[in-house]
Amino acid sequence: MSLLRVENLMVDYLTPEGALRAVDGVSFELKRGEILGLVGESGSGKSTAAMAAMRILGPPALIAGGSVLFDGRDVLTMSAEQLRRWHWREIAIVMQSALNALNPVLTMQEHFLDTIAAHRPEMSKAEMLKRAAELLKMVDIDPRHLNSYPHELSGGMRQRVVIALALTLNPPLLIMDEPTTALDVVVEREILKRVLQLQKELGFAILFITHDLSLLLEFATRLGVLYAGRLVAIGAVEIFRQGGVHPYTQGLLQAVPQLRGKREAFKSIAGSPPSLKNPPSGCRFHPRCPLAEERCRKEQPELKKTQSGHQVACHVRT
Amino acid sequence: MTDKLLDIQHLGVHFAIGGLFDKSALRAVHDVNFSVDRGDIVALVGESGSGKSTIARLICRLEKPTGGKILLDGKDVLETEPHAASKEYRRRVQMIFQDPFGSLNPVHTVAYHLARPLQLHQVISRNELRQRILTLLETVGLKPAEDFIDKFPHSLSGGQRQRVAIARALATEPDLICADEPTSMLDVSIRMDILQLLTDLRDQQQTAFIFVTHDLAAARQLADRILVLYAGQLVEEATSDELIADPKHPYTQLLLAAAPQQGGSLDTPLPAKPGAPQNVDPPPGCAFAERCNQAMDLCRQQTPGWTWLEKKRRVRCYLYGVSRADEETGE
Repeated sequence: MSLLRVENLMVDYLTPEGALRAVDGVSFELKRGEILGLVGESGSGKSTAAMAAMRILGPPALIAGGSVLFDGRDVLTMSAEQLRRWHWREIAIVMQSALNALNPVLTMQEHFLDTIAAHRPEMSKAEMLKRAAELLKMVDIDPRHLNSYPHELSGGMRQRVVIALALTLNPPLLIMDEPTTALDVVVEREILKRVLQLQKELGFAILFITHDLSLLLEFATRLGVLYAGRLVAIGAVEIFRQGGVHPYTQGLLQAVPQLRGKREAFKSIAGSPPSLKNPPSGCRFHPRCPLAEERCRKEQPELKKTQSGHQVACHVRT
Repeated sequence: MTDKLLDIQHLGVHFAIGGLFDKSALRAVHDVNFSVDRGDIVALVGESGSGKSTIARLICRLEKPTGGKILLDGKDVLETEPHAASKEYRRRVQMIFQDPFGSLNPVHTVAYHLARPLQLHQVISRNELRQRILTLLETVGLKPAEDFIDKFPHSLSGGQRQRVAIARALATEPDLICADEPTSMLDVSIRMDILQLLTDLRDQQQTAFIFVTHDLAAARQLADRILVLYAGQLVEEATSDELIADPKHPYTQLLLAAAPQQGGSLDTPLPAKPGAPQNVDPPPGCAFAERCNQAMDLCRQQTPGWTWLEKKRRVRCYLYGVSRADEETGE
């Protein structure tokens, strides 16, 4: 049984001009211990989909349809108390801005005690402190920082603390929403290496959300590509490493400047991402697609399996 | 006229911080030397806090250095116009900012944004003005220009806004444009178009660019030469291809190893220790010594000077020679 199963998820944002569909029929599943990457540009719905699946989206966002199963349990019908127990123990999230995720007037120690006390009230304070020190060591931070305030730590250290906090209760699933985007490349790499080591040791699954496709190619098991609220491709990472199948994936891969190889002329994808207020008819990518045919303008393509076991939503490629 | 357009000598920004009893010195930019030829594209690469944006802002004279010289066509502009840049300097040296959402005024149209520099810097009739704005919009790929000229920033996409910001910089026909991370706020799928536009402008109009970025791959794509900064100091200069193919400074090697790339892997060990430079009261010696796997005793005692490997190929590291910063004689 898969750990997380998202089926035909729809999320709307209610605006004065009417509902705006930010996530439109997205389905994916995540097995235990797996790393699934979700990649997309701003407004593609990648964070919204993950946060909706976790039920942490409030108004004006509204889950308009679909189902989310976690370990066989229906997430969308969970009560507030069930959600409280589920969050952090079984599913935890690391967000982009570590500065906003930490309370500026609390020390690191208080952050950990707060979390542990809420979920494991039976633990003694000494045990909690021992666990907090252990967690900081896990992310390569000296436990003397338990008494530090967020502003006393660097951006990289803060993000490490947020990761340690997320792992406090050993959840089987960790959602990471652009966890390293605000960091420099060297720090980013050091943190990701540590997370992957921990993932191997502790065996949790990761749903990794980013706009940086080249980064995901280095460590994800499977990848999903979102465009204007729809999943356009999903499958094993190898196929993406070989250049992808969907024209949007291919365009994205070519739009990233490369360090090695010949310097080629710049190749952006023509046009720009569509507005969700007025999405294009048919395939949402058709106005920018070099392969678009008449059918693409009229019919919306569904995800279909290709020979490689990859699923792609494209009339031309399937 | 020589080819050398801009020459930066010993440029520095040091701040005194702290109170009466705990004074410290913060070195944001320290002893920076480099030059830019006409039509040259030079990339300044470094991490946050390395001083790359500050250098661009100093060159555009949005901030004042605490030391050093800025020579434009051989004239030291800090001496001839010490308090504020002359109108002529501002005409010749323009800036493009990172955030196209913040750099355009939401209550004014595209036409207004482009008319301002044209009116401030040259006498131009009303008819001519509109024609010039249309031409500018076409130059930056906003076609048909008539569709864009009367729009407000909010009805443009991020990429279109950045094109308007580029057109505004071009309006004064500058010799040099400092572009501070011009693509990092834009969607991945349209970044390359903006870089291509900058390349085209250089090729067609001989505009020189200083391209500030943290992305080595983008720097290599766009720039002729790359300058690497660490802790406010330049540590290496090379042509883009050479820098990537054969990085000399251990910090450049670290940056390259950490850059995500196709076919890369997180399993590759990084060639340096984790850490960050100390900009406040920096210790003597090379700023990178603490993290460097190859650091020697000398590295912690004396700041290394430049070792010139070839013309325009230099590295500030004792592994390649023992010139010290205090006995440096320049180029």
